[in-house]
Amino acid sequence: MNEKDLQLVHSVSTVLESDGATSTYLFNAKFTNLVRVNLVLLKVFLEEKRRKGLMITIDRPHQYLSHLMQLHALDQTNLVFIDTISGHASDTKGGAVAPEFQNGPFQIETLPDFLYGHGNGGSRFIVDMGKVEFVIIDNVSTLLTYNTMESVKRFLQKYLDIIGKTSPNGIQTVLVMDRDLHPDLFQFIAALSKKAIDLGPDMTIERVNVSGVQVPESQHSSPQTSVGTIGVNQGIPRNKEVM
Amino acid sequence: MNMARQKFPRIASGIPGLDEMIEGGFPFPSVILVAGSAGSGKTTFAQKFLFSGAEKGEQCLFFSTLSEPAQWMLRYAAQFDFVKPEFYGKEVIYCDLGNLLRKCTGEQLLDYIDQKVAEVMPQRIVIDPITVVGNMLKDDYRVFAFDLTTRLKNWQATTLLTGEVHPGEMYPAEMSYAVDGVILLMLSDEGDARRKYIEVLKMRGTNHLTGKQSVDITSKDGVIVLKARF
Repeated sequence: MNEKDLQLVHSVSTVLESDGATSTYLFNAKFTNLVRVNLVLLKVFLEEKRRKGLMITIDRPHQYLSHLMQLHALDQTNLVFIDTISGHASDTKGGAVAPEFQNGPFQIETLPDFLYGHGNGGSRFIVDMGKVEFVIIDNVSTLLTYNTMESVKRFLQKYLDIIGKTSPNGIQTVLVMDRDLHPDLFQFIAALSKKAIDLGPDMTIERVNVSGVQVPESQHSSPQTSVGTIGVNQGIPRNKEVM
Repeated sequence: MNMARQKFPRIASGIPGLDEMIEGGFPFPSVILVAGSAGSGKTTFAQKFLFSGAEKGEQCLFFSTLSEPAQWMLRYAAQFDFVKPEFYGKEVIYCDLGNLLRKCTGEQLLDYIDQKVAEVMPQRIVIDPITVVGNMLKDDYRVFAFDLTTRLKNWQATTLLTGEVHPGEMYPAEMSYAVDGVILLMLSDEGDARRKYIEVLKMRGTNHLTGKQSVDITSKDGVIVLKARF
């Protein structure tokens, strides 16, 4: 990570609140920066906030992000990948195996059932969602390649509804997309989000919209001090029961 | 099912006149083969692609193989106005694969490229030229081409592979199946003159202009498509 990325880690850490509530944060970033932003988010959650979470990969097989994390010395102990795309990627890149959502990106509306063990979207999902503190989807707009807009909206509403009702510790869901490419989807998700954050091409926060109210970044600073409520560094290997 | 056509994210090629031929730029991510004979402008094309990205703050990575060591390529490239040394080692990273190519397998080469790309996290990549790799590898080149292009796209970058074309050959056939786009740079004998042309042979997901367009190479802009001026 370069200096800009590290500065963004600090800024994002401040923007993401640690109030224990289930909430959604939407980041607007140029499409060429999505990988960097996802890496920054993982650093914030795993290192700065010491949280446990899920990374749902749609854009590309999880091995790429896992490799990036390894190279940038990001501990993956408290992260579980759910891979929706590797079954369709014909990719030989090696790496740790992740739970595969066998319905793929095509039947995304069944993913919430898979996460909570109600459906048959793949092999038995082994993460206790009650212990999950954050979820990142890489990336939500790619779903539009495989699903209708209505289907993606139903998925998001069903997902947010189910985590709102069943997650005692609160889950922060973070979505990153390029508003210019999919303005309708962005607007839909922004209406469901606690904050929508605009990132500039230079990887700085340009503005933060709090539930529709625009707040200049300079007035939006509430340093976070709390950490996740679940213990960390439990040394749980992949492919075993986690969380 | 009513699915609206998804807008393909595209990045500007940096080649004046080319983006108008390909719906605004190269798909992102994608792998594009730029093929041509010696002197047709492949490396200049690739350099301009990288430096135009660097001007926008994008991260760029140039792999040289066994055509021209980076040391010499950069000396010649210095004549172009768009080549700015302040980007070297920062926005534009050069990596020489020559020594590795002499002794590695296809899988080892892929792993090395993977490692370098993960380290730099570029949005623009060039491998110049890719065609010599096929001659060096004992493995199945078609499989290598497939794995290489798959991985480069999954790293979320647009990659230009340059390809050397031998006399009588139009483009490197094996690589052309694996890539998302093929751009030909051609030299044509016309009377006493030797003219340069560009043709977009293939560009997945793009309603591209077909047919040959005249190009020129200038020290200011590198490769430029002349037709776009009219």
